[in-house]
Amino acid sequence: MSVTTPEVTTATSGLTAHQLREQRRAKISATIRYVILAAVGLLMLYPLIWLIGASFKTNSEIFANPGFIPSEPTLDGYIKGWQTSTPYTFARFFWNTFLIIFPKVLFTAISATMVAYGFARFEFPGKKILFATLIAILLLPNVVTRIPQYLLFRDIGWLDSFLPLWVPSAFAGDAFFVFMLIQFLRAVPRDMEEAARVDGANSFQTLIFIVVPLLKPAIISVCLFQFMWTMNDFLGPLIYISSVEKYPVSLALKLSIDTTEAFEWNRILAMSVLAITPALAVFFIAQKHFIEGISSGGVKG
Amino acid sequence: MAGLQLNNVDKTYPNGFKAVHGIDLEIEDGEFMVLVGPSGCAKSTTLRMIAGLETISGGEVRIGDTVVNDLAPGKRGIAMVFQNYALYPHMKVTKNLDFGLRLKRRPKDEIARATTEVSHTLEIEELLDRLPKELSGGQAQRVAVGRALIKSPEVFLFDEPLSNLDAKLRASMRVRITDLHKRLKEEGRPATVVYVTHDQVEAMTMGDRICVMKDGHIMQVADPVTLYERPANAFVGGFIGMPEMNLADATLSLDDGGRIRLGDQVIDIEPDLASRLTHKGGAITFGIRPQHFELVAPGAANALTGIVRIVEFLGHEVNLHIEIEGNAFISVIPSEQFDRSMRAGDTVALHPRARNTQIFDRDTGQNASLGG
Amino acid sequence: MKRSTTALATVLALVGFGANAAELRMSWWGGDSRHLATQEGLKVCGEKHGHVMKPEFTGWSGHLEKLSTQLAGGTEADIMQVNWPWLPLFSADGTGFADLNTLGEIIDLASWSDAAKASSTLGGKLNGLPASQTGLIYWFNKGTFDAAGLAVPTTLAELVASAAPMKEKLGDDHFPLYLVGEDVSKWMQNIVAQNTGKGLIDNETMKVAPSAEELVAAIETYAMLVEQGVTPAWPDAAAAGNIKLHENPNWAAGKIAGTYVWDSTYFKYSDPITNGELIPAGLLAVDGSDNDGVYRKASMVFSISANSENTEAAATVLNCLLNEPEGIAAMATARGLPASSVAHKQLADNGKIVAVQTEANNMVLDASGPEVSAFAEHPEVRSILKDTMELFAYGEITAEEAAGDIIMNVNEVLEKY
Repeated sequence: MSVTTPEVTTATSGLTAHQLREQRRAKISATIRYVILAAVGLLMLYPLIWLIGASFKTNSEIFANPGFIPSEPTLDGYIKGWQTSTPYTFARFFWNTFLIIFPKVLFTAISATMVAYGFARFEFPGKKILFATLIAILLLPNVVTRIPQYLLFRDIGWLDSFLPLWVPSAFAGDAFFVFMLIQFLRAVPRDMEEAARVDGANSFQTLIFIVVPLLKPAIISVCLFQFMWTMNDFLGPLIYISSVEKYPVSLALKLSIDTTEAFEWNRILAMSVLAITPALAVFFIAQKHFIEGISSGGVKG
Repeated sequence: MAGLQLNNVDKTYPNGFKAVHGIDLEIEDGEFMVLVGPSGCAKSTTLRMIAGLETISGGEVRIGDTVVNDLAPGKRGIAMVFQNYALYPHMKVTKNLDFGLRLKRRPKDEIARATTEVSHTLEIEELLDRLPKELSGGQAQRVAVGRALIKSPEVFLFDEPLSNLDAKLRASMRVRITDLHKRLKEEGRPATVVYVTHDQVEAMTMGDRICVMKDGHIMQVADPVTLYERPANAFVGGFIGMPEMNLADATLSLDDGGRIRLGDQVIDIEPDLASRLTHKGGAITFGIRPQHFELVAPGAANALTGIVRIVEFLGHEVNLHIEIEGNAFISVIPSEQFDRSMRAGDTVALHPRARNTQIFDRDTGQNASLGG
Repeated sequence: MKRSTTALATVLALVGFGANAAELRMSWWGGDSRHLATQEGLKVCGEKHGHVMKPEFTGWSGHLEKLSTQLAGGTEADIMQVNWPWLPLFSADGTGFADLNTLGEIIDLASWSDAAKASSTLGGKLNGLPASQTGLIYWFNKGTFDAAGLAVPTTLAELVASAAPMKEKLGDDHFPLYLVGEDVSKWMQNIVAQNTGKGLIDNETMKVAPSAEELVAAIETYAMLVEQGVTPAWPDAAAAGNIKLHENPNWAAGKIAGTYVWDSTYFKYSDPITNGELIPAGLLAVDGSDNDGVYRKASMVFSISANSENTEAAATVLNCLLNEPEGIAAMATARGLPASSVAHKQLADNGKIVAVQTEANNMVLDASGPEVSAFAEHPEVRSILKDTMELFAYGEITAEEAAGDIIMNVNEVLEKY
């Protein structure tokens, strides 16, 4: 800074009044732009900042003090919240969530990719009807299938287990992801796959060695979406899981919220902070690929 | 190495569109065959049927002695170079080259040896550790050729491999590929090549023989000289050559030693043409290449009179655009014979050189001046 | 599948294993304190009677969906906490749950008043035992009235008359009552009942009981409250962000001096108050009325599954939770003041009930009024009343139009049953 200052002064001394005015105007407009951007950014982040701040407040302070900086920071919310009103700690609920998410994300990626590859690259009898069915599933509200699915899983004997929550995903039950991958594949030129076939690869080898690497950004997006949606899914576990020891985080968070009883907001906020941490961590780790998956529809030739 | 045979091959798409109409083509072992034609002539479709990337609706394709109709592309003994190179973007050049060999589970040392050899031949040794996105167009092109070469296939297939390169690079790559083909032949492992292009310069310079296609039919299969001098029909005549052959509707009468009437003008048939003529007289298409349409003194015998519309001075030669009886003609004259005072609007006389005049039947389009 | 498990259970029962030691499930919703109390209750009662109890509990949100799905699939828990308004949804003719009258030998039904039992009897079958009885009463912040030099109102006329002096003395942002949102439609039913002796819905004819004129009179009474500055206007409260009263700083500061809410929610409203003291004020009489028009309901009931394979064991445990000392002590007031007289007495004797709670609850239990139909709590009926009153409060429709809309739309909902 100290080195550049004299240079700037000598440079500006040679400028006309008009140029100086222009320079000042550019500086002012840049300042205004950044101030506005920073303000809006802060505004969007404020709920998150408030959430983290409030999780260190006492319950009474949450309503008394609207700011996000706790006057007497306390870990009480975290300690009490972690213990819960059940015989289990929150660790149990995190572990349960992991037991649902891990197979679900893994099998979603595998099954959705295979089905999308089939729809996007092969001709087979009944393809049109099957694709129409896929789209129909996409448009069908979940509510419609809830009871029949429940009865089905009851008859299989899977109630109160994690199976109803992830097994449908292992058979490409998430039409949205299949559709998303199909759209992505449509933008990918077929040349590479044809080259692989000429090189002697069969359909499966082409999928593994060529299509999957090309689809990588899209598959990562699918995994991220599935991760976040599963993490936040409330109704699925609510209906299929009745034993408290099998509750995932999403259920556990609302466990103490009743309409008539006043509840300990600070514990709920503290546990909410913990609950969003894995999602945030996963997002930041995968951010590069995730953004790539959204921005680049295809691959450069 | 092996030859390639197409017997009555058809291609009909599921929507009922018939792209290829029962074509027959025999390509000899070690031959460089170019498929050329305007876009939509099904030359690429034909190539892809040979490769196995399109199903064959009728007829059969043989590579060597094997009917390959139902064989997977990888089992046909072919290698293909794609228009966009189709390099695997996530693999380094080495991996791109040896992908096919690795799939076949060849021994590691054999793969290494083949990679070294091919990269040496194509001068891409220093590119082996790069990703495709780090290559220039010409380099990517060479890697694509290398990926085909490494497999020592029975037949090489090229699908417009040079069309994405700029003009200069295209010319040098053209030479490179021709040279490679020649060198393989000299090394005693001749390669059969089927090369698709829409560029007649590539076709004429590279092909041992050229197959001209139009709308799913083969128009003519011949070596470049025959194709240029003795086009089988008006389409081939018009397609090959720069600028295009002048083609004009005319009438042939065989009275008085034979005359050709073009609008109100009439020229006699000279002996050079008469000896080759097999037409019975009537509606014809009169064809003369611009290079063979000579500027002569006004009033000369057997000349056509017309008005100059545009003069294009190219340096070594001059293109004259001339209107004769409502038809647009082009005449190319060497610039040393060009009268610099000539302007648009001047009236000139032009003589079609009889030795190079082509007469096509107007109904069938077939050449009726190829002799008996 | 189902049959084979049944067969297995039968075999186990025959060898004398299942009859005594059953594994029973119980489901409920609630907050932390209820979860802890109920788990404890199940533990002591399970041990006492030799059954293995499996608790299944959630928060409030989604519980209706969960219960609906389970009842549709026949996989509901053996003992369930059911919201009283849900009874007609799941058991319109009374066959959706076990008839507790048939288990009278196991459960001491005499602990509940006939009125309480009647409220959860459908088609002549006792579908559930009320956990508690709760009703709407007025609550006032005595501190604010004292500061204004006013007595706490005992009639509606006194309440109306208190508005002007309170504002004059303490400022224009002071209100003697806060009546916004769904409270308006509940309060209106109290006025109608006092004026006419009719509940909103007649269970015999399944129609809206009061006439259009009678509804108009009540709606105009509400309009009068707003006009006189007794309560903030609905649009103003909405503009301020529709903050829940117990989270509203004006309530905590005593600027809002009264509310009309359930007696069981005493602590929720009294805890935030920093200035003054909340006292129950019963129901304010309208001039010339011969009843209190109390809106009273069983807040929630305990039901036993009609599909349970261990109905008797479930009844044993339920009786323990509600009528036996160990259960009562564990459950305490986690669901409000117990409706079971045995439980109420035990808790009162042991000082587990705060005097003000008993006082408020007695006001509800002692008050008179027409029977409240469970359909008044039907979600669609509730939203019709709320939406119509909102339109009226915003001046979109007249009192006459509002009354007409309520009668027509509510009757339409009732036609389905």
